[in-house]
Amino acid sequence: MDEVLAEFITETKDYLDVLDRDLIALQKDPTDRALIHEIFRAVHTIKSGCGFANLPGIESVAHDAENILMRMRDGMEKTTPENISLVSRALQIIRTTVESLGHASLTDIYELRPIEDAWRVLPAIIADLEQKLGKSIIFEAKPSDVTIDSRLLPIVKACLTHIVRNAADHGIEQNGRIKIEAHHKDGFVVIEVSDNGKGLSLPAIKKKIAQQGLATDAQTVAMQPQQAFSYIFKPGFSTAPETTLVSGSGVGLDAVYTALDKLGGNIIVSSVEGQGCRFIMSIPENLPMPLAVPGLQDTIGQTGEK
Amino acid sequence: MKKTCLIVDDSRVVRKVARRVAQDLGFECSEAEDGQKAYEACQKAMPDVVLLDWNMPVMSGAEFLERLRQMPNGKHPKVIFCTTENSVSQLKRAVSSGADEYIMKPFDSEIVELKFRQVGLIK
Repeated sequence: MDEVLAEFITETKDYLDVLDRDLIALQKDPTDRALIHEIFRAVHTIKSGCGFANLPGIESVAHDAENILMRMRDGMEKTTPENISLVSRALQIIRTTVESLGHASLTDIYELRPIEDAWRVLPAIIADLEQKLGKSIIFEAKPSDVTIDSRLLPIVKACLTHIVRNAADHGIEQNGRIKIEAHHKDGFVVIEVSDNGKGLSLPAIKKKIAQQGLATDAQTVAMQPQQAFSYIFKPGFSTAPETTLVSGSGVGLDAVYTALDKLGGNIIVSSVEGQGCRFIMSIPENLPMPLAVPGLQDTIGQTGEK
Repeated sequence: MKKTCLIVDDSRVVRKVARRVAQDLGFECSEAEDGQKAYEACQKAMPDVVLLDWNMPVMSGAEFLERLRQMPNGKHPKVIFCTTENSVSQLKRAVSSGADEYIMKPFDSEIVELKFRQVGLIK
């Protein structure tokens, strides 16, 4: 494993531990300017480390956290519990990813694992979300005999967790259902996650595309739903009217997209407004051995090198 | 005798990368994790070059640099200020405090070599 990456993992974990304590202290005393400075500096250090460890995915998450902190530091934004939670959410994403990096580096030998390993943890996550959001969510996982290269599990888990959080937070209103299933198709493992929530709003997405200047008004009007929906995977693109404790702030789907893209896979979303969302992730069944997919280390760590 | 490089950064990752790069360029390296420690290191032995982070606890890069330039022989080290920001005011402050060059993070061996060459540390 690359020395710089190994150092990044240990250093970032150290910072995250301190940051967890600091954020709790900041919740208690939001007026502590020195503390905000200190938190900003630690997040900034994590971000600059990402640049050296070549981890653009977490770098963009750290960058988002840093922006919120900078605005609080400079008085452009109040130190509200919501803003602190946003920072805390971003740090959790960083922690999950960094922990999976550390884990991946230990597994130099890969094996085929049941795909169900990728979603074993979801019921617990969903139960936690139900409680936080005050919603009732049924999770249905279709039994599957699909297998997956164990080296891919950390990234698949991270993607699924992200999608489920989004579905619970923004898709499902009061009561809902999240379904997951997997199958093999044309050399890919295909995982589908669907919810029966309110779905994506095509007009809202088109409006955002035009607002952000990502396409001309005429192009936007002519855009097919599928094409318009693909913009939700662009960095910084979020149509959620407000960011929340659980998801939001535009952090994440772009990182999921980039990670899968680097593996030679992809993710698409389809949706009918009022009827929910369906995410379809495709991941190649066969990876080179040793794992040498360019850019894979961005997400799950370098396994080919010691 | 080998030239010496003092790496000042609160991030171990950055120090590790910088050390690797500077050693490859033939420099003897030492490290400091904040401006105060860097200042103490310079009191003991003045390096030939300082790779300096800006935003550090205890003593910032700016404060260290201003103090360094007032030390006896403190004008000797070439100071390369390492930043992640494209901020004109930060660059101005660095230059007015006595930095010779700046470098954007993340940096690699090529860019460090180029900057070392520009400030005359290597031929």
